[in-house]
Amino acid sequence: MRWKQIEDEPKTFALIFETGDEIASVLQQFARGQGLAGSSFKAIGALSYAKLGWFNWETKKYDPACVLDEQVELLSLIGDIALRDGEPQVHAHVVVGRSDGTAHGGHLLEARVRPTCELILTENPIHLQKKLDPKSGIALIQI
Amino acid sequence: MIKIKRLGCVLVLIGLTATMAHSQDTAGDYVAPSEAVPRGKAPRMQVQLLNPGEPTKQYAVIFYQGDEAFSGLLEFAEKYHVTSAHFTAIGALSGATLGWFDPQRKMYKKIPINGQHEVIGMSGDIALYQGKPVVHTHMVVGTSDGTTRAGHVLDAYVSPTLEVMVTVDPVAMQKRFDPETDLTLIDPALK
Repeated sequence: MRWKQIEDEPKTFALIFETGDEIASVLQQFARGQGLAGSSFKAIGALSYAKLGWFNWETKKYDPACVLDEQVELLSLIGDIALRDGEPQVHAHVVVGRSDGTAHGGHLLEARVRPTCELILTENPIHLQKKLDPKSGIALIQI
Repeated sequence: MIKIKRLGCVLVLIGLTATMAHSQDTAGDYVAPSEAVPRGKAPRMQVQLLNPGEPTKQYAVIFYQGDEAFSGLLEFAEKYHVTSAHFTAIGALSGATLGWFDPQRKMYKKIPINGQHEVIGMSGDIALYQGKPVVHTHMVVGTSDGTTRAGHVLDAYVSPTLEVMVTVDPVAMQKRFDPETDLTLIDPALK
Protein backbone atom coordinates (compact mmCIF):
# COMPACT_ATOMS: atom_id res chain seq x y z
CA MET A 1 0.00 0.00 0.00
CA ARG A 2 1.26 3.47 -0.90
CA TRP A 3 -0.25 6.65 0.51
CA LYS A 4 -0.10 10.41 0.16
CA GLN A 5 -1.63 13.31 2.07
CA ILE A 6 -3.65 15.20 -0.57
CA GLU A 7 -5.12 18.02 1.52
CA ASP A 8 -4.36 19.79 4.82
CA GLU A 9 -7.83 21.02 5.73
CA PRO A 10 -9.63 18.75 6.14
CA LYS A 11 -6.63 16.43 6.54
CA THR A 12 -7.16 13.99 3.67
CA PHE A 13 -5.16 10.95 2.60
CA ALA A 14 -5.23 8.82 -0.55
CA LEU A 15 -4.30 5.20 0.14
CA ILE A 16 -3.58 3.02 -2.88
CA PHE A 17 -3.54 -0.71 -2.18
CA GLU A 18 -1.86 -3.19 -4.52
CA THR A 19 -2.30 -6.86 -5.43
CA GLY A 20 -1.99 -9.04 -2.34
CA ASP A 21 -2.63 -6.28 0.25
CA GLU A 22 -5.21 -7.19 2.89
CA ILE A 23 -7.29 -4.05 3.44
CA ALA A 24 -8.46 -4.47 7.08
CA SER A 25 -5.02 -5.17 8.57
CA VAL A 26 -3.14 -2.62 6.42
CA LEU A 27 -5.69 0.07 7.27
CA GLN A 28 -5.45 -0.77 10.98
CA GLN A 29 -1.64 -0.44 10.77
CA PHE A 30 -1.94 2.89 8.93
CA ALA A 31 -4.39 4.20 11.56
CA ARG A 32 -1.99 3.29 14.35
CA GLY A 33 0.99 4.80 12.50
CA GLN A 34 -0.79 8.10 11.82
CA GLY A 35 -2.56 8.24 15.18
CA LEU A 36 -6.00 8.46 13.52
CA ALA A 37 -8.85 9.00 15.98
CA GLY A 38 -11.76 10.61 14.15
CA SER A 39 -11.80 9.51 10.52
CA SER A 40 -14.17 8.52 7.79
CA PHE A 41 -13.25 6.88 4.51
CA LYS A 42 -14.58 5.33 1.32
CA ALA A 43 -13.03 3.19 -1.38
CA ILE A 44 -13.54 1.29 -4.61
CA GLY A 45 -11.39 -1.31 -6.33
CA ALA A 46 -11.28 -5.04 -6.91
CA LEU A 47 -10.51 -8.10 -4.79
CA SER A 48 -9.33 -11.68 -5.25
CA TYR A 49 -10.81 -12.77 -1.89
CA ALA A 50 -13.38 -11.36 0.54
CA LYS A 51 -14.65 -12.54 3.91
CA LEU A 52 -17.71 -10.65 5.09
CA GLY A 53 -19.40 -10.65 8.49
CA TRP A 54 -22.96 -10.34 9.79
CA PHE A 55 -23.64 -9.27 13.38
CA ASN A 56 -25.38 -12.05 15.28
CA TRP A 57 -27.45 -10.70 18.20
CA GLU A 58 -27.65 -14.14 19.85
CA THR A 59 -23.90 -14.70 20.08
CA LYS A 60 -22.96 -10.97 19.95
CA LYS A 61 -20.27 -11.81 17.44
CA TYR A 62 -19.74 -11.36 13.72
CA ASP A 63 -20.66 -14.55 11.89
CA PRO A 64 -18.79 -15.05 8.61
CA ALA A 65 -21.73 -14.25 6.29
CA CYS A 66 -19.89 -15.29 3.16
CA VAL A 67 -16.46 -16.07 1.84
CA LEU A 68 -15.82 -15.24 -1.81
CA ASP A 69 -12.61 -16.85 -3.04
CA GLU A 70 -12.87 -15.32 -6.51
CA GLN A 71 -12.29 -12.08 -8.39
CA VAL A 72 -14.93 -9.50 -7.36
CA GLU A 73 -15.39 -5.79 -7.87
CA LEU A 74 -15.16 -3.78 -4.67
CA LEU A 75 -18.25 -1.66 -5.34
CA SER A 76 -18.31 0.23 -2.09
CA LEU A 77 -16.26 0.29 1.06
CA ILE A 78 -17.40 2.79 3.70
CA GLY A 79 -16.01 3.11 7.18
CA ASP A 80 -14.79 5.12 10.12
CA ILE A 81 -12.05 5.13 12.73
CA ALA A 82 -12.56 5.87 16.45
CA LEU A 83 -10.55 5.22 19.59
CA ARG A 84 -11.16 2.25 21.82
CA ASP A 85 -9.07 2.27 25.01
CA GLY A 86 -6.71 4.72 23.31
CA GLU A 87 -6.19 2.52 20.23
CA PRO A 88 -7.66 3.34 16.81
CA GLN A 89 -10.36 0.90 15.75
CA VAL A 90 -11.26 0.57 12.08
CA HIS A 91 -14.92 -0.20 11.29
CA ALA A 92 -15.79 -0.84 7.64
CA HIS A 93 -18.53 -2.39 5.53
CA VAL A 94 -18.20 -3.58 1.94
CA VAL A 95 -20.36 -4.38 -1.07
CA VAL A 96 -18.76 -6.61 -3.70
CA GLY A 97 -20.02 -7.52 -7.16
CA ARG A 98 -19.56 -10.99 -8.67
CA SER A 99 -18.99 -11.74 -12.36
CA ASP A 100 -22.77 -12.02 -12.96
CA GLY A 101 -23.40 -8.59 -11.40
CA THR A 102 -25.03 -9.86 -8.20
CA ALA A 103 -23.94 -8.11 -5.03
CA HIS A 104 -22.82 -9.48 -1.68
CA GLY A 105 -21.96 -7.45 1.35
CA GLY A 106 -21.27 -7.24 5.04
CA HIS A 107 -18.91 -6.15 7.80
CA LEU A 108 -15.30 -6.18 6.54
CA LEU A 109 -13.43 -9.12 8.04
CA GLU A 110 -10.83 -9.74 5.33
CA ALA A 111 -10.35 -8.39 1.81
CA ARG A 112 -7.42 -9.22 -0.45
CA VAL A 113 -6.78 -6.68 -3.21
CA ARG A 114 -6.29 -7.51 -6.92
CA PRO A 115 -5.21 -5.33 -8.70
CA THR A 116 -6.02 -2.08 -6.85
CA CYS A 117 -8.08 -0.40 -4.19
CA GLU A 118 -8.33 3.39 -4.03
CA LEU A 119 -9.26 4.70 -0.60
CA ILE A 120 -9.82 8.33 0.40
CA LEU A 121 -9.71 9.08 4.13
CA THR A 122 -10.50 12.28 6.02
CA GLU A 123 -9.14 12.75 9.53
CA ASN A 124 -10.68 15.29 11.95
CA PRO A 125 -9.13 17.19 14.86
CA ILE A 126 -11.81 16.08 17.34
CA HIS A 127 -11.48 12.46 18.42
CA LEU A 128 -14.24 9.87 18.57
CA GLN A 129 -14.31 7.45 21.49
CA LYS A 130 -15.79 3.97 21.61
CA LYS A 131 -17.14 2.29 24.74
CA LEU A 132 -18.41 -1.21 25.32
CA ASP A 133 -22.19 -1.35 24.95
CA PRO A 134 -23.40 -4.04 27.37
CA LYS A 135 -26.59 -4.71 25.36
CA SER A 136 -24.89 -5.54 22.06
CA GLY A 137 -21.56 -6.64 23.53
CA ILE A 138 -19.61 -4.49 21.07
CA ALA A 139 -17.89 -1.12 21.42
CA LEU A 140 -19.98 1.74 20.01
CA ILE A 141 -19.01 5.37 19.38
CA GLN A 142 -20.14 7.41 22.40
CA ILE A 143 -20.42 11.19 22.23
CA MET B 1 -69.27 -10.97 -34.65
CA ILE B 2 -69.64 -13.51 -31.83
CA LYS B 3 -65.89 -13.94 -31.79
CA ILE B 4 -65.43 -10.19 -31.46
CA LYS B 5 -67.95 -10.09 -28.56
CA ARG B 6 -66.11 -12.91 -26.78
CA LEU B 7 -62.82 -11.15 -27.32
CA GLY B 8 -64.41 -8.00 -25.88
CA CYS B 9 -65.57 -9.93 -22.79
CA VAL B 10 -62.10 -11.39 -22.28
CA LEU B 11 -60.52 -7.95 -22.66
CA VAL B 12 -62.96 -6.46 -20.11
CA LEU B 13 -62.15 -9.31 -17.73
CA ILE B 14 -58.40 -8.78 -18.17
CA GLY B 15 -58.95 -5.08 -17.63
CA LEU B 16 -60.95 -5.70 -14.44
CA THR B 17 -58.35 -8.11 -13.07
CA ALA B 18 -55.57 -5.64 -13.83
CA THR B 19 -57.51 -2.82 -12.13
CA MET B 20 -58.14 -4.98 -9.07
CA ALA B 21 -54.47 -5.99 -8.88
CA HIS B 22 -53.53 -2.36 -9.31
CA SER B 23 -55.77 -1.18 -6.46
CA GLN B 24 -54.61 -4.07 -4.23
CA ASP B 25 -50.96 -3.07 -4.76
CA THR B 26 -51.58 0.58 -4.14
CA ALA B 27 -53.11 0.04 -0.71
CA GLY B 28 -50.09 0.44 1.54
CA ASP B 29 -47.54 -0.92 -0.94
CA TYR B 30 -46.62 2.46 -2.38
CA VAL B 31 -45.71 5.76 -0.83
CA ALA B 32 -45.78 9.21 -2.39
CA PRO B 33 -42.47 11.13 -2.51
CA SER B 34 -44.15 14.05 -0.74
CA GLU B 35 -45.15 11.96 2.32
CA ALA B 36 -44.50 13.88 5.57
CA VAL B 37 -41.58 12.69 7.71
CA PRO B 38 -42.41 12.23 11.41
CA ARG B 39 -40.32 13.77 14.20
CA GLY B 40 -39.13 12.53 17.57
CA LYS B 41 -38.37 8.97 16.46
CA ALA B 42 -34.62 9.11 17.15
CA PRO B 43 -34.42 10.17 20.81
CA ARG B 44 -30.96 8.66 21.36
CA MET B 45 -29.23 10.35 18.40
CA GLN B 46 -25.98 12.13 19.29
CA VAL B 47 -24.08 14.72 17.28
CA GLN B 48 -20.43 15.77 17.47
CA LEU B 49 -18.79 18.52 15.40
CA LEU B 50 -15.36 17.13 14.51
CA ASN B 51 -13.60 20.25 13.18
CA PRO B 52 -14.72 23.40 15.03
CA GLY B 53 -14.02 26.72 13.32
CA GLU B 54 -13.84 25.44 9.73
CA PRO B 55 -16.23 26.63 6.98
CA THR B 56 -16.87 23.06 5.77
CA LYS B 57 -18.11 21.21 8.84
CA GLN B 58 -17.56 17.52 9.59
CA TYR B 59 -20.11 15.96 11.93
CA ALA B 60 -20.42 12.50 13.43
CA VAL B 61 -24.14 11.74 13.81
CA ILE B 62 -24.52 8.54 15.81
CA PHE B 63 -27.76 6.60 16.24
CA TYR B 64 -28.45 3.91 18.84
CA GLN B 65 -30.82 1.01 19.51
CA GLY B 66 -34.39 1.79 18.46
CA ASP B 67 -33.71 5.13 16.74
CA GLU B 68 -35.35 5.67 13.35
CA ALA B 69 -32.45 7.11 11.38
CA PHE B 70 -34.16 8.75 8.37
CA SER B 71 -36.33 11.09 10.43
CA GLY B 72 -33.37 11.54 12.82
CA LEU B 73 -31.19 12.85 9.98
CA LEU B 74 -33.89 15.35 9.07
CA GLU B 75 -34.05 16.50 12.72
CA PHE B 76 -30.24 16.86 12.69
CA ALA B 77 -30.47 19.00 9.51
CA GLU B 78 -33.16 21.22 11.02
CA LYS B 79 -31.44 21.65 14.39
CA TYR B 80 -28.02 22.45 12.88
CA HIS B 81 -29.44 24.66 10.07
CA VAL B 82 -27.93 22.47 7.35
CA THR B 83 -28.47 23.89 3.85
CA SER B 84 -26.12 21.58 1.90
CA ALA B 85 -24.51 18.31 2.97
CA HIS B 86 -23.46 14.84 1.92
CA PHE B 87 -22.83 11.80 4.06
CA THR B 88 -21.87 8.12 4.24
CA ALA B 89 -22.84 5.67 6.96
CA ILE B 90 -22.39 2.11 8.20
CA GLY B 91 -24.09 0.21 11.01
CA ALA B 92 -26.88 -2.27 11.52
CA LEU B 93 -30.68 -2.38 11.64
CA SER B 94 -33.52 -4.36 13.17
CA GLY B 95 -35.70 -3.47 10.18
CA ALA B 96 -36.31 -0.89 7.50
CA THR B 97 -38.53 0.17 4.64
CA LEU B 98 -36.67 0.79 1.42
CA GLY B 99 -38.24 2.14 -1.74
CA TRP B 100 -38.02 1.67 -5.49
CA PHE B 101 -39.22 4.59 -7.58
CA ASP B 102 -41.92 3.61 -10.03
CA PRO B 103 -41.89 6.27 -12.76
CA GLN B 104 -45.36 5.24 -14.03
CA ARG B 105 -47.05 5.75 -10.66
CA LYS B 106 -44.65 8.50 -9.53
CA MET B 107 -44.47 6.71 -6.19
CA TYR B 108 -42.01 4.57 -4.24
CA LYS B 109 -42.84 0.87 -4.11
CA LYS B 110 -42.13 -0.24 -0.54
CA ILE B 111 -39.47 -2.92 0.01
CA PRO B 112 -39.87 -4.20 3.58
CA ILE B 113 -36.64 -5.29 5.29
CA ASN B 114 -37.45 -7.46 8.30
CA GLY B 115 -35.00 -8.57 10.98
CA GLN B 116 -31.33 -7.92 11.72
CA HIS B 117 -29.35 -6.56 8.73
CA GLU B 118 -25.98 -4.88 8.31
CA VAL B 119 -26.11 -1.39 6.80
CA ILE B 120 -23.32 -2.11 4.36
CA GLY B 121 -23.40 1.22 2.65
CA MET B 122 -25.56 4.26 3.05
CA SER B 123 -24.93 7.46 1.18
CA GLY B 124 -26.98 10.55 0.74
CA ASP B 125 -27.32 14.28 0.63
CA ILE B 126 -29.23 17.15 2.17
CA ALA B 127 -30.52 20.14 0.21
CA LEU B 128 -33.20 22.81 0.66
CA TYR B 129 -36.70 22.76 -0.78
CA GLN B 130 -38.73 25.92 -0.14
CA GLY B 131 -36.25 26.87 2.60
CA LYS B 132 -36.49 23.56 4.47
CA PRO B 133 -33.91 20.75 4.47
CA VAL B 134 -34.71 17.52 2.62
CA VAL B 135 -32.73 14.32 3.23
CA HIS B 136 -32.19 11.97 0.28
CA THR B 137 -30.44 8.69 1.02
CA HIS B 138 -29.95 5.21 -0.39
CA MET B 139 -28.67 2.10 1.33
CA VAL B 140 -27.46 -1.43 0.71
CA VAL B 141 -28.32 -3.88 3.49
CA GLY B 142 -26.80 -7.32 4.04
CA THR B 143 -28.37 -10.50 5.36
CA SER B 144 -26.77 -13.31 7.37
CA ASP B 145 -25.64 -15.09 4.18
CA GLY B 146 -24.06 -11.96 2.69
CA THR B 147 -26.74 -11.41 0.06
CA THR B 148 -27.92 -7.84 -0.32
CA ARG B 149 -30.98 -5.72 -0.89
CA ALA B 150 -30.95 -2.04 -1.57
CA GLY B 151 -33.07 0.99 -2.23
CA HIS B 152 -34.21 4.50 -1.40
CA VAL B 153 -34.52 4.84 2.40
CA LEU B 154 -38.05 5.44 3.70
CA ASP B 155 -37.33 4.40 7.30
CA ALA B 156 -34.54 2.51 9.10
CA TYR B 157 -34.66 1.21 12.68
CA VAL B 158 -31.16 1.11 14.17
CA SER B 159 -29.78 -1.90 16.10
CA PRO B 160 -27.33 -1.44 17.80
CA THR B 161 -25.75 1.57 16.08
CA LEU B 162 -25.52 3.59 12.88
CA GLU B 163 -22.49 5.84 12.35
CA VAL B 164 -23.19 8.67 9.92
CA MET B 165 -20.27 10.90 8.88
CA VAL B 166 -21.67 14.14 7.49
CA THR B 167 -19.89 16.90 5.54
CA VAL B 168 -21.82 20.17 5.69
CA ASP B 169 -20.86 22.61 2.95
CA PRO B 170 -21.13 26.40 3.38
CA VAL B 171 -22.98 27.03 0.08
CA ALA B 172 -26.69 26.07 0.05
CA MET B 173 -28.02 23.54 -2.47
CA GLN B 174 -31.60 24.08 -3.67
CA LYS B 175 -34.22 21.65 -4.90
CA ARG B 176 -37.09 22.31 -7.26
CA PHE B 177 -40.29 20.36 -7.80
CA ASP B 178 -40.18 18.25 -10.95
CA PRO B 179 -43.76 17.76 -12.26
CA GLU B 180 -42.66 14.90 -14.55
CA THR B 181 -41.75 12.70 -11.57
CA ASP B 182 -43.40 14.48 -8.61
CA LEU B 183 -39.93 14.45 -6.99
CA THR B 184 -37.92 17.39 -5.70
CA LEU B 185 -34.64 17.43 -7.61
CA ILE B 186 -31.45 19.37 -6.87
CA ASP B 187 -31.04 22.29 -9.26
CA PRO B 188 -27.51 23.74 -9.03
CA ALA B 189 -28.64 26.86 -10.93
CA LEU B 190 -31.22 27.76 -8.26
CA LYS B 191 -30.01 30.41 -5.79
